[in-house]
Amino acid sequence: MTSAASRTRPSSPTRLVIPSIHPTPSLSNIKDHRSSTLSVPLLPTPGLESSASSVTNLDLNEGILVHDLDPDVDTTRSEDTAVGQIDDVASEESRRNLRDHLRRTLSVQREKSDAKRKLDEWLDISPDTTLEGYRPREYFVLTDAGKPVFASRPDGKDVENSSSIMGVVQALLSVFLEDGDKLRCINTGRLRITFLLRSPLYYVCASSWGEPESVTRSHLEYLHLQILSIVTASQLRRIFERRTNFDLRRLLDGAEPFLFSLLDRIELDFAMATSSLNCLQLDQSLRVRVAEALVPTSKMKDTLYIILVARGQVITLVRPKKHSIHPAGTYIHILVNTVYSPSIVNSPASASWIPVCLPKFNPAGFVNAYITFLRRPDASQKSYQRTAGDNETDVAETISASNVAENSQGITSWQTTRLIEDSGIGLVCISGGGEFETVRAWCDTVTQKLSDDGSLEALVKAVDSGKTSYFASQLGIPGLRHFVYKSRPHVQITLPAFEEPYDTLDAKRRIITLYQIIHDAIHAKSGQTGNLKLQYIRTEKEIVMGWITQPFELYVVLSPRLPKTAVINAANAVTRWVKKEESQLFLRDAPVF
Amino acid sequence: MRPQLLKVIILGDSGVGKTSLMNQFVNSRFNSQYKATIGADFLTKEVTVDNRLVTMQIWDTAGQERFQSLGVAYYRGADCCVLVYDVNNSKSFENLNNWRDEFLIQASPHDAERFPFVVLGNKIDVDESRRQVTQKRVLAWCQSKGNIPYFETSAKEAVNVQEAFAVVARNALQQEAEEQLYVDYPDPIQIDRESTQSYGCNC
Repeated sequence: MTSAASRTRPSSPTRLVIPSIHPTPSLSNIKDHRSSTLSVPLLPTPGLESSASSVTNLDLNEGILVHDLDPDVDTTRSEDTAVGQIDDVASEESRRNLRDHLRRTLSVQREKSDAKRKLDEWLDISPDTTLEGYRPREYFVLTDAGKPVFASRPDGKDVENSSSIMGVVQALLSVFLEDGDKLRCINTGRLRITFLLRSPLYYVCASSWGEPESVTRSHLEYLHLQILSIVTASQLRRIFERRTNFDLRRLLDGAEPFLFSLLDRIELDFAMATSSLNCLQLDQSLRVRVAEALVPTSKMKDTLYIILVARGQVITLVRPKKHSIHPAGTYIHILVNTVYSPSIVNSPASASWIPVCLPKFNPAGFVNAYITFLRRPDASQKSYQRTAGDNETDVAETISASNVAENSQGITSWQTTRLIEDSGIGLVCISGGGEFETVRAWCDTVTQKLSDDGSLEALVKAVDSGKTSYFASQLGIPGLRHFVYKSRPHVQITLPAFEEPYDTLDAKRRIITLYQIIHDAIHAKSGQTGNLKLQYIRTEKEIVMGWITQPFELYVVLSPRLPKTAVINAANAVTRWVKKEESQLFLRDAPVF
Repeated sequence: MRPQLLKVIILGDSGVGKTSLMNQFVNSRFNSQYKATIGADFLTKEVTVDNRLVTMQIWDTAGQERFQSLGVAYYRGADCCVLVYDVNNSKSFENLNNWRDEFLIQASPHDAERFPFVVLGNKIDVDESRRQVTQKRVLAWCQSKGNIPYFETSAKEAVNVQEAFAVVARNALQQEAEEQLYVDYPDPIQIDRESTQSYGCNC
């Protein structure tokens, strides 16, 4: 594997020019990262192709690859664990000892956790990785008293073990807290346990996928936001001020499906990872027509957002002038997740009212989400299943078929959600106050209007015919397999549907994790010394490159045999294509009121 | 719904049999060899109380004085506190006051007056002639502290251990049930579209 990291001047925003940088600075750049304070696979470093391990840098003048032997190739696998003994914590002295012990083991791990080794372990190189595959990440939420709030393990399994884990976590975290310190993560072998402390709740994720720490941390932040959307931050604070031994599951009773669907969603959703929106690809005039129908009347004084969604993606979003959608990017994900939670989407009711707290909008109260499906999921589901079986030549139907195959790999909670995401068109109206009747009547009117003027029909047709998604192969760029393009001014991303060889769940997880590693490095999210402008990784299976400029971020995956020049050309070609298709790919100029 | 978790803290002087009581309750085992607990340890056990399945997370703490300030983290959110003394050691009984105070200060439960404690007088298997604390004396103390339930136990011979922990679980649960669930549904939010205050950037 080769890898190069370099800084380009931001002066070439729309064309990728091979950066004219001397190899040495970028090499030292890599080393900076390695010696950074976090034991995270910040930068994939060479060694995957055994003896051919090298650091490669782009050289503009020669247009050749410069290979430097990497002296730091470290193939030893650390077995260090950072599991503290909670028995040792009572006296000042023993507490200090434990802490020192933890520090020591953590820092040993830090030194050894050479990024290469991590990536080595993570990629399908070593046999045990292949055996193990991507073991589901485990998530725990507990109160700061050590009481369980949520565990991602299947219900009923290992309840006693789970409560023991929570007890240990609480004890471990408190050792550090008493010293005014916060435990961020524990690395042990391939496993990383990430902690997020949001008193009175503690969040834990155990993952052996090899993703950057910032990724699991953001998962935990999303979990926290979802929980706050259900109980509100101020209620949470009040309850635990009164009673430190409160069993929060009493309040979250029935809300677990929201958390499960969030965890399913977050696994592959790059929009969530980049705090951006991934809107449904749609003909611009249709999108505009639909949006105009959604502008609320003056009677609806307390309306915050009106959102139309299909396939779990936003079609359009109408908002008041004063409230921009951008900081609410994360809310939209929480809202969409809520809408597509099986308990909502499968509800036989024609509409649902859910109180939702959007913490950054107002941490003390709920807004009301009125959710109605313009196209009933059950009817569409039948047609969906029929087409998937009947005819496999059509592009859209091939997507459906591959989704079915993927689902049958055994992620049960996804099955329902995914099927319905592929068919339902949901209208969500977020409002404060109690104007229930007004909102309901208005939504009925809008539904009727969309139906009468043919917009709904056109939307359904677009979704069913596969025009709302595309494949990388359609771009006709040699060697291009997949990409993610983020328009920074729009705070939106676009990406093609996954296709061969990334059509299996594990392959998608591989690619997403590679994207995450690059995204993390480019944004220096895990304590790296500086941002990168460009990062290039080559594995045995593919080349992945990330590139950030003022107007966009681009992540491309290409065939591993492409020369660098072709990679650069492909990246430029993708940006040109996105520019050309921009009006369809992004939600622009959505109406405000 | 998953079983509720009850956090139980066992406190008392060194050597009164806290670990043995926990082991007898959780594992039905007794080991006569004394091994001081260092810091704290916990075991979990699922029990059924009045047809409700609950998980008891029992924190065994070290009795030695040098460990006495375990810090708020261990006590925080406890549902019941078990105070243990050795009936053959009056000093360990007299210290119950300190243990109780220590707990109330560290855990600072919402309603200290009504927080459930249970007192266990352990080692009743030892010859009666060596007994130093009379039942009358203990009961008087328990009554003065708000009618704390009292059990005389033997971890060694498994006397009254299950019974005592059943009361621990029941009283912890009862206290929980009495507590009103303050789900005060907040007032609806007024979304002021005209306000100049902007929530977030407009980039």
